[in-house]
Amino acid sequence: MRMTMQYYRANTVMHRMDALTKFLWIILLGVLGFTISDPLMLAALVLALVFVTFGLGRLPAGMVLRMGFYFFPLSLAAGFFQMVIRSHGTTVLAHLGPLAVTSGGLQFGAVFGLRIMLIAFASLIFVWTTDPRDLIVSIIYLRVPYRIAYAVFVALRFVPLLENEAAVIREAQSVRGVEQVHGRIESLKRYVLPLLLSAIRKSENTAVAMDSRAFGAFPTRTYIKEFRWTASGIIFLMTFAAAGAILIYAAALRGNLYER
Amino acid sequence: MLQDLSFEVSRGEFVLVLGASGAGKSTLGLCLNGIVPHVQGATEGELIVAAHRVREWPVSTLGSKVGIIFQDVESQLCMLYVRDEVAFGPENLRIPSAEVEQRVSDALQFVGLQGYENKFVFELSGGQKQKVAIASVLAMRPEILFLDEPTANLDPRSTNELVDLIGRLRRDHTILIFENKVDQLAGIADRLLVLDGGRLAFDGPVREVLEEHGDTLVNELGVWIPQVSEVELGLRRRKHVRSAVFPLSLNEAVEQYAPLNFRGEPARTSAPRPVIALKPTIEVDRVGFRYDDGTVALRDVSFNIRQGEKVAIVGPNGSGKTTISKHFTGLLKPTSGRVLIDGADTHKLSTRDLARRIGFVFQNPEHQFVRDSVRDEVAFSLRIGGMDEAEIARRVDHEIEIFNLKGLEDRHPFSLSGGERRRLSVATMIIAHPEVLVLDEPTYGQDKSNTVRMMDSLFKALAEDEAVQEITLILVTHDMKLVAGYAERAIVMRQGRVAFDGPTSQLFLDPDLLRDTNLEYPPLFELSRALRDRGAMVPASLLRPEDFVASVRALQAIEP
Repeated sequence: MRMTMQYYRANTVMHRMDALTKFLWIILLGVLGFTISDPLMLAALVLALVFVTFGLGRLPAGMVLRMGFYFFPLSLAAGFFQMVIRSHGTTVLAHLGPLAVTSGGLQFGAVFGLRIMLIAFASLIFVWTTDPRDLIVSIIYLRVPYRIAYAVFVALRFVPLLENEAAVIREAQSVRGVEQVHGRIESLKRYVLPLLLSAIRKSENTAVAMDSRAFGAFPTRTYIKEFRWTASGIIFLMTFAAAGAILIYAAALRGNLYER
Repeated sequence: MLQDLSFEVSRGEFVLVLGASGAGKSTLGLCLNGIVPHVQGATEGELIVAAHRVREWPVSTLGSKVGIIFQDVESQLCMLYVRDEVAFGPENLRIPSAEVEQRVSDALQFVGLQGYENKFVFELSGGQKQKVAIASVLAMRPEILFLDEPTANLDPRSTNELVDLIGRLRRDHTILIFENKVDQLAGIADRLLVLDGGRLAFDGPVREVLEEHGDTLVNELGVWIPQVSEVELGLRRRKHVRSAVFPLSLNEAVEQYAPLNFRGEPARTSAPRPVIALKPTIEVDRVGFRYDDGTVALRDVSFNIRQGEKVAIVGPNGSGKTTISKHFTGLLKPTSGRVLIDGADTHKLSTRDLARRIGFVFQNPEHQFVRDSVRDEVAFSLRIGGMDEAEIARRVDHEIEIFNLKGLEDRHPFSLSGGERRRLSVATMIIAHPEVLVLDEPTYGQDKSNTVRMMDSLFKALAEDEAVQEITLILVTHDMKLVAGYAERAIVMRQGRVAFDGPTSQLFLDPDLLRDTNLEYPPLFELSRALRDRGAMVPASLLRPEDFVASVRALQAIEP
C-alpha cells in the first residue's frame, strides 16, 4: 500500500507534462463527471483514463491494479447503495428484501459509481505521474510564499521516515514482551511517546540544517527549475476539453444532463 | 552549554575538536555559523569569524561563511533529488540559476558523485548521503567548514573515503571537525581542542596535547585517542619505553616501534575463556530471507552459535547482519531454511517464549522503553514473569548498582543521557537472565567513556551473576575495534551470505576478505603487520593496545 499512493518515477508524456495542466485536467474531469449522467459516456471517460494510465503514462499494471483493488469495490458499494435508495423510475427490476431495484435506480447507481471511479482514478494518475518537486514549483508559480511551500514539502518527506520509525518501535517493544501486559490504550501511549520525541528531534534538526543553509534569509530565492507550461499539456487538456464538449452536447440531446 | 571559551583559529588551520558527549561540541558549531544567537539561544562575549562579529552578521550570510555538516545526516537533507539538495543553499542565497547549476556540478564532482544529480537522496547509501551533505554545503562556497562527527555511522571503507575527502578539503578551507573516530584524523590535523563540560580543557598542536595529556583524555575526559597513541602511553607507563616522536598515525608508530624487542609469543592480557559447552543455542540452517518488497536479504546462511560464545556479526551496511540477528528473536522468520533456538524452530515458538530467552538491545535504546521510571523499566520483564516483589526489588537494586544507574531510579528513562539510556537498556535485558544477548551497533554515536562503561558493566554483570555467566553474547557491528576487543569469534556477512566464520584473530589474516567486505583492520593489527614486514618479531594476534604493550620487552637498561 505504501508505495502505491506515491510518485512513480518514469519518463513519459504524462510525467513530462507540467503539474498545473494536469491539475486543470482533473478539474475538467470533475466538471464533466458531474454534468454528464449517461453511464455509457462516463464509462467511455473511465476507459480514456485507462488509456492515459497505460498508453501515455506507462504505469505498471501491478501498481494500478493494487490501487484498483481498493477503489473499485468502494465505487461499486457506493453505486449499489445509491441504486437501492433511489427508487424513482417506473420499472421494478428486482426485489432485494424490502428494497426494490428500479430502472432509474440502476442507472443512477451506475452513474454515481462511475463518477467516483473517474475522479479517484484521475487523482491517482496525477499523484503517480507528478514529481513532488514539480508540484512545489507550480505552487510557487501560483504565488504561494516559498517558505510555506517548502515547509509543506519537507513535512511530507517526514511521513515515510516516521512510518519506518514506528515499525522499528513496534519491533523493539515486542522484544520486551509488551503484548502480554498492555491494553490498547497503554500500548498506544508507549508507541506515541518515542515516536513523538523522535519526530520533534528530527524536525528540529532539519529546521536548524535548513536555517544554516540560508533558508528564509531573503524574501525570495532563485530556482534551478522554474515552472513552465508544456505544449504536450496544452494539447492533452484541449483534447479532453473538445471530447468533453462533444459528450456534453450529446448528453444534452439525450436529456442526460444534471440528472439528480 | 558553553562557558568562558576562548580560542583563535587561523585561516587554513585544520582543527580536531574532542570531547565526550555533552561537552558542548555541537553548540559551538551553531555559534560559529551564527544560528546561535540569530535563530536560537543567546551568547555572551564576542565571536569573530572571518573578520566579522557574528552577532552583527546579517542572517543572510548564514552558511556562506561557515558551512556546517551536521551529525544526523538523515535529517539535514531536506530535498528529494541530489541536484535539488545541493542547489538548495545557493538558491536561498539568490544566486542566478545558471551559476547554481555550475556550482552543483562542481560540488558533486569534488565529492566524487558526478552523475548522481537525478538520484533520489533517500536511495543513497550512508556514505553517499554524507558526501551529498558536504557537497550541499560546498555549493555555498564557505571559507570555514565545520563537521560534526561525519563518520559516526559509516562503515570502514566509507570512513576512509570521507577522510580522503576531508584531506582534499583542507587545501582551500579552514576546518573544524568533531569526531569520536580519531585514528585516521589525528595524523592529519594541525591542532587539537579538547572540550569538557562546555569549557576548553586543552588546546595545542595535536602531538603536544596527546603526549602531555593523553592519559587524562582517556581516563578522565572519556574521549577516544588514536590507538597508536594509547600504545605509546602504555609503553611509557609500563615498559619505560619512550619513543623519540610521539606517534599519531600508523606510519609514525611503525617508524618508532620497529627497533623494539618483542616477545615471540602472543602475551594476551586476558586469555579468551574456552568454550565449554558444545550445545548449540542458535542453529541457523540454510536460511534465506526475502523482504516484502522483493529484496533478497539472506541467501543460504548457515552457522551454529554455542552456549557461552562471544560472537561478532560484522559486515558493511546492507550486508544482512541486522536481518540475520532479527531472526534470533523471531522478529523475522526465514523465507526458506530454519532457525532453531535450543533445538526449537522459531516458526513454532511464540514471541513471548523468544523474548524470555533472547535479549535484544536495539541501536536506539529509547525505542525499547515502556515504563515511566528507571526502576520500573528494569523491573518490567520480571513483573510480567510474575516474580514476587521482594525478589524483584533485590534484583533490580543489584542491576542498577552494576550498570551505574544509582540515583537515577525515579527518573523517566527518556530524561537520561545517551550513555545512561544505553546502559539502562542493557540492564533491562540482563535482569531477565536471557540465554542470549544481542547488541545491535552498541557503539553507535558513543564516546569512549560511554562505550567502555557499558561493556565493563555488562561483563561485570556476567561475572557476578551465576545465572548469566554462560550467556551467549552477539555483537552486531562494523566497529572493528569492538570486534577485536570483545569477540572471540567473528561471522562476516557479505551480500546476504556468510563470507567468513572463525576466530576473530583469523579474520584479520585474510586481506582480500576485508577489502571485499568494506571492513578494515583494527589499527593495532595494521601496526603489528607493518612491523612484521620490517622484520620485527611481533605476534600476529595483537588486537588491543594492552596486548601490544604486554608483548614488548622492557628495555634492558631499565629492567632491574
